[in-house]
Amino acid sequence: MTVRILNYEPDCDVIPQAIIWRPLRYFTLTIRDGEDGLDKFKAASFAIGNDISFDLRVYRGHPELTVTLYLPEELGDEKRITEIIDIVIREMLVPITAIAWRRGQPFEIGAPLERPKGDRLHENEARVLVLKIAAQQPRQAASTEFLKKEVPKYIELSPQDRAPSKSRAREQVWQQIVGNVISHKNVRTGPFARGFAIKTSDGIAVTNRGMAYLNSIGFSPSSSSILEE
Amino acid sequence: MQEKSGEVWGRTPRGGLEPTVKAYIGSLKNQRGIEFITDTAPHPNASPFEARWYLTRTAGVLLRQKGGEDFACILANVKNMQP
Repeated sequence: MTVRILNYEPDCDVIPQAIIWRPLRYFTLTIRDGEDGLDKFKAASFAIGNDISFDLRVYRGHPELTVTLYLPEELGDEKRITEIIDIVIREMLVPITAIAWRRGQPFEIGAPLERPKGDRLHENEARVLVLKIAAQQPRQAASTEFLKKEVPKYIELSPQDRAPSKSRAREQVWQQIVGNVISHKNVRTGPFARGFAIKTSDGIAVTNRGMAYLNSIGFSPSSSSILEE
Repeated sequence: MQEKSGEVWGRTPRGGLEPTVKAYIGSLKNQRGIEFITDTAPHPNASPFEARWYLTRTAGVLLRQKGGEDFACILANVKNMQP
């Protein structure tokens, strides 16, 4: 399935159904400003197939590094809501550890929501994240050094991420993970083996296939790269 | 006005089904707005970040009308956080 970016706001009220511990810019480049009876917010609207539409929003009073999944108010059936949350998580490649809350999970009103324990940057998430960052740069290319500088803007680094690397002196675990994505060229599920990127002298460049992939998960409105396939 | 009246009002959201009071859960933390405490339990579709009270679907919500428009209203102890 493909996640399509919608360039218009939903024509119905929407209800919060899940909270993800990632910022909005992690998910998409197409972000708009909005305001409703609650407050001002930043949002992106998406569709999957013909039946599923949803918003990712962060209101001014929400923690900045979270995003809330909103579904149309008319969707009242909890079983269907659960199905759609699962589909969104799968199609937008949301790590399960990043789900701070979802409909059906009990919570205490007024108790602060905490980041899920164990949520950190894993290599499979980093493989997509480096593509997202590089895709925004001129020529859709970025150095490893630049990627490492940018990653903390897309994921709140946990104490586990910030632990010293056991194999690379002067690096933290998350930096080693990003470095591994770039240097491990032959990993079957990596961006190079899948044709999503090519290795450059100092980092990566995203291919047309990589841009199409980012387009298919709702990140990029465009699916073209300057690179020939 | 809400502070004096002890009421919090909400209008029908764009595309919404009925007048609704929407609020963050917890304190405003340096943001402008009003803080309130209410005995009226929110609708079960709350999230850890926000709560709603619907005019007809949430017990204890009152109807108020002004200028020909319907509003949902909950009784609350209101504190104005506007500067």
